[in-house]
Amino acid sequence: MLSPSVASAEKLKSFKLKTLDGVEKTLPDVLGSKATLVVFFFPTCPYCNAAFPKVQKLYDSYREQGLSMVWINVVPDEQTLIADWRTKYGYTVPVLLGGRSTPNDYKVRMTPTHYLLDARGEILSKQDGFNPGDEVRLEQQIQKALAP
Amino acid sequence: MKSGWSSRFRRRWLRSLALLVTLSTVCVTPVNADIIVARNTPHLSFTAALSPDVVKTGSRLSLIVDVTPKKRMHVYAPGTNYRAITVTLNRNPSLKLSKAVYPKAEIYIFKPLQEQVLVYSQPFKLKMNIGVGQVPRQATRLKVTGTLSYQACDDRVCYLPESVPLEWNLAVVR
Repeated sequence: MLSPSVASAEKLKSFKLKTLDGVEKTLPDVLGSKATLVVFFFPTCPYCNAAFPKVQKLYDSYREQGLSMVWINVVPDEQTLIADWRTKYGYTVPVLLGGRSTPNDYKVRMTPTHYLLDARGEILSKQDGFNPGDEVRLEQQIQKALAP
Repeated sequence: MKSGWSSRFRRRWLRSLALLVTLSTVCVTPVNADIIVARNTPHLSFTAALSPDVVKTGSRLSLIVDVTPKKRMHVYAPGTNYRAITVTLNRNPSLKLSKAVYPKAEIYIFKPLQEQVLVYSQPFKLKMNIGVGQVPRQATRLKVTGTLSYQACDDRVCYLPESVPLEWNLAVVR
């Protein structure tokens, strides 16, 4: 369900959400110098748990090249699980805490939902769900976004 | 022209009437709407029935939630790390609630993690017995509320957890 170029020059709606430490972040705060992957998730989502080890690897591999990444929780009553969940799986991708309106604001009906953005926050591609092999297509999209 | 229009109008009116009668037959099932809640979500359909349809102090109620997952969908059963389907009734001083009884679940292999999980992908029933305590003397109806909560997945994605409100209004007899 990878859909490149959702609409030409469509920007992801900005947000103001808190980190686990209570620091407010906006979309411009988290945008990378070349590309940003925003992933909507919740900790007990099975497909998120299948995808995230691979997505974390993408973050580790491409961070130095200008890729930023943020995972946004969309189920507020699972916020208390996130700290332990990150520690358990060794995730280092920053997490933001979405509110009740987050799924509607970003048309998230399923998880994980990935938005790949360029340096200005314009949507390059959107991917819903995850099956083994999707990380290859996602990596190709990231490489394309990071290319000079 | 006028009679042609009238004739067409009459035919359309009769078709509409026939459709209305058909829909009425299909939709208005012979049940007490106060004791059967029927809902259809993108992931499943269910009915939640309380019986009997009247309560009195010291009586017992039975709640049966009949759930049919949609094609390729599954919901989680208790005993996994995921959100199991639950039926929860809100606290009510007139009711003595007990735990829901679940049927045997199926084992589903979640391929991306090669993990065995307990799910329901075929129609199943959740049951709960409810005792009725002291019903206020002046009450003519007893309102029972709750939620059916679940998280559904298919073979590619998980949908956001859902919580569907339930409400029944039972007649009180003395």
